[in-house]
Amino acid sequence: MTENPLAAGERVRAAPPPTAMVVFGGSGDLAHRKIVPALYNLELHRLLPQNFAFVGSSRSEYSDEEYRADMRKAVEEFSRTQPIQHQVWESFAGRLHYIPGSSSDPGTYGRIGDLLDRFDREHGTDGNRLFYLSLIPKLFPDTIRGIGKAGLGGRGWDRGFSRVVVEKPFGHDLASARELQELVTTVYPERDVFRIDHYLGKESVQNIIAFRFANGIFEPVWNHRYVDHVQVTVSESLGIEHRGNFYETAGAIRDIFQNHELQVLALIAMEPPASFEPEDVRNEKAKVLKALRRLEGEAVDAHVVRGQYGPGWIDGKEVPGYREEPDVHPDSVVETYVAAELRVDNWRWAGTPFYVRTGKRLPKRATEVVVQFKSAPHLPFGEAAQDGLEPNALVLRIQPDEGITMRIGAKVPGPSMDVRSVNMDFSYGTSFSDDLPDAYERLLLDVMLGDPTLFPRWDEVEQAWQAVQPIMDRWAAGPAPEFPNYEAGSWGPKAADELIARTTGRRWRRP
Amino acid sequence: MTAETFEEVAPGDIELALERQRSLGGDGGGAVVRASVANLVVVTPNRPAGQRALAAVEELGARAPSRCVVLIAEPPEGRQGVRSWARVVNRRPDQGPEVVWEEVVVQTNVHPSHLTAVVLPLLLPDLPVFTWWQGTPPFDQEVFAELTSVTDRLIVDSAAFTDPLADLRRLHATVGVLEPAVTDCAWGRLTPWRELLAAPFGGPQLRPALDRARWLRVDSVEPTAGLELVGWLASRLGWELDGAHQEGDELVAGYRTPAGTCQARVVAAIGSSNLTRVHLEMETDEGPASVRVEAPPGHLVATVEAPGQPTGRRKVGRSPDPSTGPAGLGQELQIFGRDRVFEDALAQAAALVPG
Repeated sequence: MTENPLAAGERVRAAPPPTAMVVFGGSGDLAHRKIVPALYNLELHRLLPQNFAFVGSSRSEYSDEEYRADMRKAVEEFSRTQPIQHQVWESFAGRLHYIPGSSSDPGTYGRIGDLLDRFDREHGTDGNRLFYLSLIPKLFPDTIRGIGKAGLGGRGWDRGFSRVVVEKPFGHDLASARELQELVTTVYPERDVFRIDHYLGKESVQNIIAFRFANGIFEPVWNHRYVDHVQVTVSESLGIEHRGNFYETAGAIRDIFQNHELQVLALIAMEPPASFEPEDVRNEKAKVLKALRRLEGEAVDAHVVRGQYGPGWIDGKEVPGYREEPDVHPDSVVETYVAAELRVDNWRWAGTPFYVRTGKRLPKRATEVVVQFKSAPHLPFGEAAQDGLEPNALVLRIQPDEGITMRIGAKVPGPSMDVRSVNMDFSYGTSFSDDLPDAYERLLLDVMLGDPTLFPRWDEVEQAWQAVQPIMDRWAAGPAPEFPNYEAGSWGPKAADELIARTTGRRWRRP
Repeated sequence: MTAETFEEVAPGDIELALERQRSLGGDGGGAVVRASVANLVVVTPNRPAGQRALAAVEELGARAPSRCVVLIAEPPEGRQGVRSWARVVNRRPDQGPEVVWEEVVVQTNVHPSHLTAVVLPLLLPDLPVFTWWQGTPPFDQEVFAELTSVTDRLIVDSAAFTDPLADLRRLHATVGVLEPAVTDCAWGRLTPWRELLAAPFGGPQLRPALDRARWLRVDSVEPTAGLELVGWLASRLGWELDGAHQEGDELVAGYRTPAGTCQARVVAAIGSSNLTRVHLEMETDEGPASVRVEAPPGHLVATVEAPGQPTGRRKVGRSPDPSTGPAGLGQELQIFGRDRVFEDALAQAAALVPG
């Protein structure tokens, strides 16, 4: 088909092709909080296709009308634009449908398939199918098999596209991820699989790419010759927030470290892609993850620290320890904190450590990357005069206050030549303050448009599991750790401070 | 003195005054970070218009903090020459970081040939210069040539032209020869309409019908908006104008299309939006199809009718994107290069103007 001549030009944004979308887990938390509010906001801003229809499916018994009423409440509560525009909602809600059914019942998929066929006739959805697995991971296999057996999967589908969106975690460990991938591959070719990591949909994470590759001055020093080390911090002040059941099976290493954190590391360490084409970007990220040195056996003990929070104080309030949280085993050894010294074994980063940490119940919520440069080779000012002068650092602040901080040395005003470190802060918000779209809006639009750039490819996921699996194995085989080992409201276990301080002069930046 | 008050300063002392105000502003009373993305020069005919421009910039400020220079082309009271004021504005939008921008007002009656000398020292280095000319720019006069010579992008609003149709023709004539890119806020405000009109043709069912348009009606509140919308469809769809004439308050145009002919009517309407309705009818092998976009209060409704399909009706938000600000100015500040689609549409729109 020729291109739509009316969609060309500066301002008219590319509208996705007609799409029928199915959300398994349609009455779940994510559908309420993120997926449906994101779709409503896309519609409000005229970004959904003209021909769009939606089916929510899960075990709960709802009629279409009940489901719409429930989703209306969800949008009223969680939409980023408020108040909701009732006319727009009513028109949008008319395209929401609901099919109750169990993921293990083949009849569910048959009924969904029939409804989608009807959408093609009535809503002009044109044979395009988008299945979103917003489910607990143990239901993934049945659902993917169900889609496949009903003949709705991407393999052999010739009436349009059929794509699948899989929420993280993709697998529970290396073996289960491979098993899941093997199953997914029988139903979908890789190009139709979108593994969603909402972190990558954040404007601020994409700004890492813009910062690195739109600014020529940093590239020459972005390597082991000038960079002393890199720190990646994803800290949360929240605890596990009623997710005890989930967290007991995950821990920080599966929840954040294996996906968000290694993805951010890949963006920092990757080579410049030749283009912003999906495969070019993903190839470069995959190369970094492949070059991550695998830590095994005793190396895990030497380079990885885990922790679990005990009771403490956050924001002036007393909070319980992890073991006192609901649905958590009183002797749980699940980690709520991980810090690791990682190495990227390639030409650019040889010898440069990447210190990576994440934790819950830390003093504040912050995500940031610190690129710590080497000291000037010779400082001519005399010891007293340069007391307090630290090497240059570049901090990419991802959240909450997105921006860049550059630490530079400057002269203290006065008659003597004293130099000190000062921070030069830049907030993106001060130059482009705007209502930012939610990460899910961006990512759902990308799935409909068929652009996988911001979705980790299977080899990236596999490499990340390969890096993490030996760490989990070592922990499982060793004696139970002495938990809790950090207080809620502190910056994590002492051992993490010792890990980075092994090289004189290094310490975690306090975000 | 608070940082929000305009301070009258001699033109040569403006930078010093702004720097002093900056050091007084901000939450902590200390220095604040200034991050500007552009220079915005606003050319206004008198003080009330200058005030209105400042209000628009205020609304826009937090989204695109710029060095804003408002030129008021009025003799300063009781004297000749230049009178100038400056202030630093600090705003903290909901949950956002503090945003700082600077406003300079210059009231002057210097000879046009000296105007650039007044403006140039007030611009921030490196950043692009957008000139927002209120009303109809004096296309043939020296002042226009002088100011556009230091401009990267000229912004006008054809809805505010003195003689909208005739001035639209002059705008088109200017676009062809002027160095900086030109844009029209009225065109920017058509974006939601264009998006909704384009959307039904994203799928294969209606796409072929687009070549077989036969009838178009645009109910236009802003006269130039209706012409630009017809011009846009004509230029994108390869229509050739056979002729146009006025029938009462309707403008009727005949086009040759790739597959036949199409009649377009622009009807004067009254309403609270730029257009109130666009209705496009097409031929398909199975019979006639149509796309209609209407603007009831608060939202837009797109209705698609095609043979063998149930009527598709869709209501979406009418307000432009949050980033567009008043009159769509914010959108204009995000585009740097020439907007070829606009220029093509403008050429077709200008051809419809009688005379």
